[in-house]
Amino acid sequence: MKRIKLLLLSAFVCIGITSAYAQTKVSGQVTSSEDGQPIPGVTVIVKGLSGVGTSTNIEGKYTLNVPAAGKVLVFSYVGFKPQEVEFAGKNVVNVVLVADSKRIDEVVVTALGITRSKQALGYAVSDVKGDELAKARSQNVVSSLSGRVSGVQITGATGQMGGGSRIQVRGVTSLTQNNQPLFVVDGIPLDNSDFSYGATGGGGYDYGNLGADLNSDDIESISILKGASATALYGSRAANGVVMVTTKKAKQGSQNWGVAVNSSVTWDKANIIPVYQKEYGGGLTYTDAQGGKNGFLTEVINGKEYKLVDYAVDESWGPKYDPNIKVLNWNAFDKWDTENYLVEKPWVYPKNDYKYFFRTGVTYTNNVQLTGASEKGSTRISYTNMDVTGIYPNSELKRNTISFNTNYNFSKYLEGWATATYVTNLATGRPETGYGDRNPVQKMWQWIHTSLDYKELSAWKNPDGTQRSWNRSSWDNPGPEYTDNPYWTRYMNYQNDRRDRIFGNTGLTLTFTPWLKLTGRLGVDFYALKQEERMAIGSQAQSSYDLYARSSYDVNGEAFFTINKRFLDDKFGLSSILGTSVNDRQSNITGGTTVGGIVIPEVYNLTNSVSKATSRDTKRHKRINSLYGNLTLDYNRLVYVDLTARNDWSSTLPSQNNSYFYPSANVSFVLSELEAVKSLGFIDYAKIRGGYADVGNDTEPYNLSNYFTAQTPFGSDPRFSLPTELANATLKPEKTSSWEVGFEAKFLKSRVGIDVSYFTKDTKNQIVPIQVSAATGWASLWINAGKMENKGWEFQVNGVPVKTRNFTWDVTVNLSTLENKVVDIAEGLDYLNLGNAPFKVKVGAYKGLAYPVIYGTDFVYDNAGNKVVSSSSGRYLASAVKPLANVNPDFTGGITNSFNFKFNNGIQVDASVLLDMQKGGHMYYTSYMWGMYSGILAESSVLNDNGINIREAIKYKYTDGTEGATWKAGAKSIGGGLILDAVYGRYDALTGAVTYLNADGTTSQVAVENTKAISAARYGSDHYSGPDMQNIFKTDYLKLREIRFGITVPKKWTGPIDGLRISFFGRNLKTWFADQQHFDPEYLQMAGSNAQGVEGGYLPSVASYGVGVNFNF
Amino acid sequence: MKKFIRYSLIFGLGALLLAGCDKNFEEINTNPNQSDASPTPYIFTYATRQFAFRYYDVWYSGRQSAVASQQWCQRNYTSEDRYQFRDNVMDGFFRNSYIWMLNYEKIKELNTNEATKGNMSAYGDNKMQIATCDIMETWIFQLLTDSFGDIPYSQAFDPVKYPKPKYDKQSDIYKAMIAKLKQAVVDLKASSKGWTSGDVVYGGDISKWIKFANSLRLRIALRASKVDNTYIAEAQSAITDGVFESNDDNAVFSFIGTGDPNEAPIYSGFFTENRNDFTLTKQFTNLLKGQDDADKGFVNPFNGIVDPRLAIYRGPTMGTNTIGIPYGMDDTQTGAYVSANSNVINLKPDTKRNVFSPVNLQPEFGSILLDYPTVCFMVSQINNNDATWFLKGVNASLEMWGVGATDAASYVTAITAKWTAATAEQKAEMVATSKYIHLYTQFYEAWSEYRRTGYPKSIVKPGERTAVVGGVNITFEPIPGFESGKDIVARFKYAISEYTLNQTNVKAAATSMGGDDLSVRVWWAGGGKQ
Repeated sequence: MKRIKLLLLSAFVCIGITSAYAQTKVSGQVTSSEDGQPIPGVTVIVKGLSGVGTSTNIEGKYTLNVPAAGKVLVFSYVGFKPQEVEFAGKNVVNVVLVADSKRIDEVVVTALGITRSKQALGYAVSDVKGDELAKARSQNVVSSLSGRVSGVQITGATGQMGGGSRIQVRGVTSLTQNNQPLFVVDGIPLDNSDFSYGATGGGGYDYGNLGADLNSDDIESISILKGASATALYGSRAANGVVMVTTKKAKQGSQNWGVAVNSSVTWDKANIIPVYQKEYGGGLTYTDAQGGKNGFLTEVINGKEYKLVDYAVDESWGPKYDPNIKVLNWNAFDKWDTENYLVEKPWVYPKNDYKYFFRTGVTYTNNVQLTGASEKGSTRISYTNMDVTGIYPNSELKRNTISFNTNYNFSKYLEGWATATYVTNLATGRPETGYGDRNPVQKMWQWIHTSLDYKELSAWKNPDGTQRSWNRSSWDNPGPEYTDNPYWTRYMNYQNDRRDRIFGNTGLTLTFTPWLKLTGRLGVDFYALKQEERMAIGSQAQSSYDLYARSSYDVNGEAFFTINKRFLDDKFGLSSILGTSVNDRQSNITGGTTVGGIVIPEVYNLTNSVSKATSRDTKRHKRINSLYGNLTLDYNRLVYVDLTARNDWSSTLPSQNNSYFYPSANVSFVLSELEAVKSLGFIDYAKIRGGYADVGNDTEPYNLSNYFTAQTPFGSDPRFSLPTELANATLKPEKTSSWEVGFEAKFLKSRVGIDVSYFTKDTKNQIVPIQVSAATGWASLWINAGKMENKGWEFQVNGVPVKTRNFTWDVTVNLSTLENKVVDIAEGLDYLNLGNAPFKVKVGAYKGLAYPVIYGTDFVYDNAGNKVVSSSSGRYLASAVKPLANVNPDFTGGITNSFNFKFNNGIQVDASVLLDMQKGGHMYYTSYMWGMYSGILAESSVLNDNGINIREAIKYKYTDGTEGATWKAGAKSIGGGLILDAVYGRYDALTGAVTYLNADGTTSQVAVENTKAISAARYGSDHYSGPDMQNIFKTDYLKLREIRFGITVPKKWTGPIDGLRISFFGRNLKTWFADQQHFDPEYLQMAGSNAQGVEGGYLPSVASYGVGVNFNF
Repeated sequence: MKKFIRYSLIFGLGALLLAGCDKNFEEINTNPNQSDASPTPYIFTYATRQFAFRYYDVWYSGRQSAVASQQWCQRNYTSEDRYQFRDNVMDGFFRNSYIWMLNYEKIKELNTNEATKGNMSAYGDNKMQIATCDIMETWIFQLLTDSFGDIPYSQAFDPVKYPKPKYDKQSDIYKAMIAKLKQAVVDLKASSKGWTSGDVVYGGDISKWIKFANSLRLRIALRASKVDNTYIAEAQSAITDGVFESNDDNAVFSFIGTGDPNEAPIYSGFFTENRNDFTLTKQFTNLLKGQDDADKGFVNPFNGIVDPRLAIYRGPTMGTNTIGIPYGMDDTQTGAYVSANSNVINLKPDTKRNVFSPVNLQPEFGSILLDYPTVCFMVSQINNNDATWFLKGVNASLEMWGVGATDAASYVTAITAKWTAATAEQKAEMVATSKYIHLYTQFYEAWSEYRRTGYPKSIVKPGERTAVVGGVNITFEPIPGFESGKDIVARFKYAISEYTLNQTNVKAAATSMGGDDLSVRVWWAGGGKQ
C-alpha cells in the first residue's frame, strides 16, 4: 500500500513539474477541405519539441499547452497533406486539411500487433472497422465478418443461441488438424477452441467457438492476415491465417473524458424451416384387411368403438385428412384432462402446427463506455450486457463483458499499458444439434406426426409430474415409444453452462532512441467452463447427468526489439523486429457421468447416480519457444523488401525433430511513386507485390507414444485398453508453403480502388493419423504424409459512384475463388475418413479431389446416362461407395452498398445493404432422408404424372382394358404411386458393369424404360435404402445478409447528448438460389470440425430485426 | 539513463538467447493422464468384456445375427430383417473385432518379451496367459470368418510389415484355428498357475480353459466336417481330449448388475437405451409352441409339444396366447401387425399388462461363449445323431435355462416318443432343431448352424410366405440390392472401410469367393452362390 502511495505521489509530482514551465495554451478545430467535417484523431505536434503533442477529439478539436520554445504547430493525418502553422501570439488555431490524393498511406495492424503502412506490405491484408460490426451486432462477432472480406469463408451457426461460427482463410491446409485461423487480440493469441460435439450430424451441443467472447463494442478493427507471409511471424498456430483484433482505446492526449452508449434490441424469427406435407396425417394407414376403418385402427373403450391415431409409430403415412372423420388423439386418454378425455376430434391438419413451437427470440445489448485521457495516458472502461432469449422454449444466454485498458507514458523513454477483459457467459437450454434425443427438431423433421397440434403438446406434464408424450407405446400405455414430447425435452432435459474468462496483456515499451525500441509483454487467456447436461427421469432415454469442468491457461511471454530508421537523405528505410516468445498452454477437464440413471428426480449431481458415476480427468500441457525476426528495407518508398524468419521449438515433437525453421520473403513495388505514373494524373496509388513463405506446424501433446486408457472397472476388476491410434516417436513438423502475388491501386481521386491477389498454398508432411485396415489391429497410425494444395483469386473493388457535398454512395465488392485439392494422402491410400454421418455416408479426403468430400453410394447409370432401376421392383439401384460431392464452396463473394446523406439542418441519414453469396459446395441432409422416409416433408405428398397423389393406391390399365394393382407386360399406370424415370438393369458392384434387363428380368441388349410404379412409402423409404445421392443438395446461396438504416441527429437538438444515432437493421433476411426448400444452405454442424457437409438435425436459421440507439456525452 | 538503456539492451538480448532449448520439453510432453504400462489381467478383462458385451448387444447381434437367424425380428423399422444391414454397424463389427483383439496380442507380447515376461508371470504362467488369449482369439476368429467367409488372419496385427493384410481362405483359417487350440491345450497342461485375477470367464481355473479349448475345437471341426470329412476325426479327437462335462463348465461371461460396464448388453439396449425394438418371430414362437406353419408350409418335428423354454424366452406373461411377429415384413406391415395385435410378445416389461422381463433381459444375464448342451448336441451330430447325446443335450439345455424338473421330464418324455418314431432324416432335423432352440441368444451360432444344416425348416426363405393378413399374402423379400439368393443371408458383405483401406486384398477375396454378395455361401457351407 505504501508503495502504491509513493507511486501515485511521484506521478502527481511529475505532472506538477511539467505544468510548472511557462506555457501558451493553444486550441482549435481541424476540418477537412473536402466536406468541411471535423477530423478526429489528427496528430498535433510542436515542431522541434519532441514529446509535446496531442490529437483532435471526436469533434476535431484539440487543446495543447505549448512551451515557450514552440513556434510552429504541425498537423498531420493519414490521407491528408501535413500542414505547418506558425501560431505566434495566437491562442486559437483552426486548420483546414487538404486531402492528399497522391499519398494514401493507409495503416494496418499486422503481426505482433504492429501497425504498418499498407504500402510496405508484400501480402494481402483485409480489414474491417469495428464500427461496421457494432452497428448491426450479431451474437458472434465472427458471423458479422461474413461477406465483408475476400478470401475468407464464414459459416455461421444457423439459429443456435450462442452457436459457433466457422471461419476459413484461403481454404483448408491440414487433413486432420485444426483448420481455424489464429485469433490475436492486441498482439496476444486468444483461444478460439470449440467444445461443441456432434460433428457429422450426431447429437451434441453447440457450445460456440470461444472467439465469440470478443465483444463487438470493444473492437476498433479486425485485420485478416490471409497469406502465410502475413502470418509467418506467428508460427505454427497461424498456418491457417490470423484474425487480428485491435481493441478500442481512448485517444491519448485528447485531455478529455467521454461517455458513449450503444444499445440495441434484436428480434429473431425462425426463417428457413422445413416444409411439411399437409394432406396426410401421422401414423400408418391400415387397410380394411389389416383391420382398419378409414385407414385407422379401432378400439372399444368403455363400450364404445373409437378410431385411434397410430401414435406408437413416429411417421406420417397416416390417412388423408377428412374433417368428417372423428378420431381420438394422443391426449384423449388421461382421465384428469377432462377437456380432452375420450373426446373425438376431426381429422384435420392442426391449427397450431410445428411453427408454433418456435418463439420470437429477443436479444438486448447494452454497452456503456467511459474514456478519459491526458497527455500522459488514457483509459477506457467498457461494460456490455447481452441478454438473449432463444427461439426455443426455455433458452436464454446472458453475457457480461467488462473491458479495461490503460496506457501511460512514464517518461519519454518508457511507456506502459495494461488491458484486460472479463467475460462471463451464462447459458441455459442451448438447443441440441444433430441426430440426438434432446434435439426436438431432429424429431420434427425426421420422426413425427405432421398432424400434431403444438398448443396441445405444450401441456406436456401430468399432474403427477410424469411426461405426456404424443408417441404413446399404445393407447393404454402412455410411455414414450421412441420420442419425448418436445416441450418435455426443452423444459426437463435442458443443459446449462457457465464460462468465466479473463484475457488481456500488459507490457512496457522502452524507447532507447526514436528508432530503437524494446517491447516486453505478457498475455494471459484464462477461462473456466462448466457444462451440465441432463436427461430427466421419465424421459424416453435413461436419465443421466453429465458434468464437464474445463479450465485453460494460455500464457504468452514476448520480448522484441523494433528498429525504424531512414538513411541517406530519407532515401533508404530500414525497419526490423527481433524477438523471442514463449507460449505455454495447459488445460484440464474434470467431471463425470452418472451410470445407470439418477436416483432422486431432478437432483443433478454426480453423487445422485444409480451406480457409481464415472469420472473424467484429463490434463494437457504444451509449450512452444520461438525466436523470430523481420527485416524490411525500402528504397525511396518505391521498392520494399520484407524478410521474416522464425524458429519454433515445440514440446509435442520428438527431441530430434522439435525445432523447425521457416522463412518468408516479400517484395512490393509502389508504381505510383514513379514520376511516369504520377504524370498520368488519374492514378493515385498503385502497387504490385509478391511473396513466398513457409510455415511449420507441430501436433497435439502426447502423440509420441502409446498409452493405455483406464476404463471403468468391471465390478472390482480394473480394465485397461490399448489406444486405437498407433503413436509415432519420429514425427516431423508439418510444412505449409505459399506463394502470392497481388496488385492494388486507387484511381480518380480514390473514387475507385482495386485489390487483387492470387495465391497458392501447399501443405506437406502432414501429421496425420492415417487410417489402416483394422486387420492390423489399429484404426490408424500417426505418420507424416499427405499433401494439400490450395490456389485462388481474391478481388476487392471499392467505388464511390456518387459523391457530392451532401451525399455519398460507396460500393465494396469482394469475390474469391478457391481451388482446393488433396494431392496425396499416403502411399496406396485414396480416401481418408474424417467422420461418419449417423446413418449413411461418410465425410473424408479423397485423393485428387477437393477437401472434404461426401462419400457414399450414387445412382447407377448406364453409359447413356440413364438411371438404372431393379427390374423386379422399379426401385433405384445404388452404386458401390465412392466420392459423391465436394463440401466446400469454390466461389464466395459479397457486395456492400452504403449511402450517406446529410440534410442542411445537420441530420445525417445512412443506409447500407450487404449481399453475400457462395457457390460450389454440397451437403448431405440426414433430415431429408428420414423426412422422406417418414412421410413428413412436402415431396412425400405430390401429384404424379397421372395427376394423382403418389400416396394413393397404385393402379394399372392392362392391354386388354382391364385394371389391377399388379404390374403386367404392357400395363399403364393410371393410379397413384410413381414411376422412376430410369431403365431396367443389373449392377455388378465389383466391376461397376451395368447389364440391361427386360421388365421380366431377362437380359436385354437395349435399354428398356421402366414402367413399374412404386408406392410413395417405398419411394420415401428408399431415400434410406437407395442411393445416398438422393439426399445430397448444393449449398449455393445468395443472401441478404445485412441491411441497416440510421439517423444521426445534430447536437444542437439534443442538448448534452452528442452524436445521437438511431438505427434499424436486419440480418439474414432472405436467401435465394437454395437447392431445396427445407434447409438453410448455410449450415454449420460444429465450428471446430473438419468433417463438415453432413446435416443431422437442422435447427431453423433465424432472421433478425433490430433497433439500436447510440450516443455520447 | 544511459546505464539503464545498456542494461535493458543486455537483458533484451539475453531473453532472445534464452529461447530454443527447453530442458522441460520431455517432462511437458509426458502424459499425466495415462500409463504406458499395464498389468495383463486388466487388459484381459477389458478385451473379454468388450467381446462379451458388443457381440451380444442389440447392434452386432440384434440388428445382424439375431434377425439373420430369425429368432428375433424388429417390431418396426425392419431394414436389417430384410438384409439392409447398416454400413456403419457392420464396419464397426469388423474393425472393432481386430482392434479389441489387439489387446490379447498385447498380453501375448508382454508374456513373450524378455523385458516384461518376468513381471507379468506374477499374474499367472506366461504360457497360460498366452494360451487363454489364443483361445479367446480363436473363438472370435471363428465368429468372424463364419460371418464373412475369407478374412485377414495370417497377416493380421502387424501394421509395419503388413499395413494391408491379405485375406486368408476360410479353409486355411479353420486349419490354423485347430492348430492354435491344440497348442493352447499343450501349454495349459504345462502351466500350474492360472490367472491370479482378471479371468472373468473361469476365475483362473486352468482345467476349465482346457475343456473350453477342446469344446471349441469340436465346434470348429464339426462345422468344417460338412465339406471336409477329415474334420470328423478331428472332432472325435477333441472329444477324447476332454470337452465340457456339465453346465458348470460353460464358458459364460457373467454380467454383474446395472450400470456400464457391469450390465448385460440386451438389458442395456432395452432399458438403458430404453428401446423396445425386438421381439420373437412368429416362426420361432410357433416352433416352440409345437405348431406347424401353414403360411410357409412347415411341419413341426415337435408338433403338439409345447416347449417349456417358450415361457422362459418370452418371459412371464398374463396372456396365454401370445404370438410372435411374422419375420421379414416391411415397416408398414410390421407396424400394422404390432398395432393390430395386442397379444404380440413384448419382451420388455409392461407393468400395466403385468408383463415382466424374461431372463435374457436381466442385467445379470451372461453372454454364453460355448456351453455344455451345445457340446452334447455336437457329440450327437458327429456320431450320426446319437440319441443318448441328443437327450443329454435337451436335458442340459432345460437345466441351463432353468426349466423346472416336472416340466422338463414331461417335455423329454414327449420328444422321446417322437424320436422313437422318427426316420434318420427326421432325427437329424430334431437334433439340429433342438440345438437351434437351445442356441437362443447365441444368435451367430443359431445362424451358422442353420447355414450348415438347413434346419430348422421353419426359417422363411426369400419369396416364401411369412404371413397372411386379412386374406393378403405377405412374402419375405429382401430389399432390392440386398438379395440373398434362394436361401436366407449366406454371409455378410465385407466392411466398406476395407474397400478404401485394403482394396486389392478385399477384392481378391470377394472374387475368389464368387462375389461380395449376401448370396455367396462360405466355404464350410459349400461355397458359391446359393
